[in-house]
Amino acid sequence: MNLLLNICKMKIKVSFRYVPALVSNLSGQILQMLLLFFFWTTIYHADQSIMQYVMFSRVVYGFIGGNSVWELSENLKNGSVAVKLTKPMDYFTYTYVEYLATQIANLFLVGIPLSIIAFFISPVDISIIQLILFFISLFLAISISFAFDYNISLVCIFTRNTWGISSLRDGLVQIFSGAIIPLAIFPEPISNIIYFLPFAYMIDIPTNIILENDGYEKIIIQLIYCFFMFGFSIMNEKLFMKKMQIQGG
Amino acid sequence: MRTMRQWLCLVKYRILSLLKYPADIVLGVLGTILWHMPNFVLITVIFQRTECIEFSKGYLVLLYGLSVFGDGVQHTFAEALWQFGNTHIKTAKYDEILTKPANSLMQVISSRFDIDGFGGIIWGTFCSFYGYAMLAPINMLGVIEILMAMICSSLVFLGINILTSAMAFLLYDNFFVTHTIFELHKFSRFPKEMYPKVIGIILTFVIPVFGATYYPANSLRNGIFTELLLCVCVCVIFLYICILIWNACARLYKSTGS
Repeated sequence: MNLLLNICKMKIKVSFRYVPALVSNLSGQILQMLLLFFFWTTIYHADQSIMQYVMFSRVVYGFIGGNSVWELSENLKNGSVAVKLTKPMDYFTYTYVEYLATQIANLFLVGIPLSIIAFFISPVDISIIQLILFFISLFLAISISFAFDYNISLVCIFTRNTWGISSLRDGLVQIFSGAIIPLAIFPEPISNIIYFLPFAYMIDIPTNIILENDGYEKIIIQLIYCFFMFGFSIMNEKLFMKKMQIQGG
Repeated sequence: MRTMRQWLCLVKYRILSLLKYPADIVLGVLGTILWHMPNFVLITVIFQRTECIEFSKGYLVLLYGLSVFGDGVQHTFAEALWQFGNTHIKTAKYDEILTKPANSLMQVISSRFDIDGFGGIIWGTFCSFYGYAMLAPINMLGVIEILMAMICSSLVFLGINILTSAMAFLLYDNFFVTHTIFELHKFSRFPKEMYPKVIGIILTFVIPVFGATYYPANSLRNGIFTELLLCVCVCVIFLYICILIWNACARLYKSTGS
């Protein structure tokens, strides 16, 4: 536990150290938020509920903080995974703790400024219970997002194209998670399929929990999905790591 | 002309080395297409829900296509400029460039040829033609006009990339400037009328992303050939000014040692 806390502390310190990266990331998120605001108000003449969804889904997207495929697959590509494999902790847990720590830093550095903007644009009444459920759901969403990224990055054992894999992940998440398009406005057969995929559990469910007050059932589904994704990741890791060849390191 | 020949030669060898890994190329191109896809899906889904939109679907797809095409061109041919500060200034690799008898900007640009950006070029071309076809039947003149609009888009995005990378001579790192400015290019995927006037002015005169999409697309929609020709001329002048600024900033370069 002490080891985990130390990794967590180190990652948070690193995140706070790179101020230009932080400013760039934050400004990108704010610009995207503004773009969607203009789009939905001017082109779609969206009502209050859609605006709230769009704004808060961007906040959740900001909390989840982009993708970790790049970092994970770079570890596999440049051989630094070899060092991490020698640590007294399995690789999956180690990278998961690192990812969680980065997200905690992200919560303060990106999530809070975005939340303030979202509240300013579309105010929402939130109870304490909703807020607690939201953070539980957010934790599960971050875990699902990590498991998905982990699986995708394992492909880098066979291909060296990190950009392609990372972009593929970004495209899929943005389309099917609700980060840009509310899932409710997709045609019904498509939205039914989307709820079988992991993406909706990353953005849509936490957003719905903060906006509506019916979180318990959704969190249970999210938890089941989280267990499933983690199991799948560990199984894949065992399969893929056997095939890994490190060049240098 | 000599610079162009040198550039083509360098790019040829880069392509030959990339072709050794065909699976990586396919993955990169597909990844880039999917990365650009969300806004297209957004437009498609919105038009399935309602037709009460003051802009036509063809016009929005055309704007989107031009933006993606321009981004694809700068991604493919000028990707090296994104990390120019990190790869050339901080490491003093730029010293090496200065010792060679060739244009320094060309040398920096040709140091990286990113075939992944072809995804943007392919998808942008498809969307530009698809959007135009929804506005008017495509004929020979239409094809020429779309190509001219695509040239405008490429020139503007290349110009912006060159301009932001020149910041590396002053700040030693340009990635964050380039990244933030390029986040603004997403604004050019929608009509200027969608934004408040201040944003319209900034994105026309300060960071002219509307010059890449909105103005050429409007000329295309209205079928005014001379206006489109004027757009191309303005974009060429813009790119030329950006190169001049880059060269002026390059004179301020101080080596960090090696």
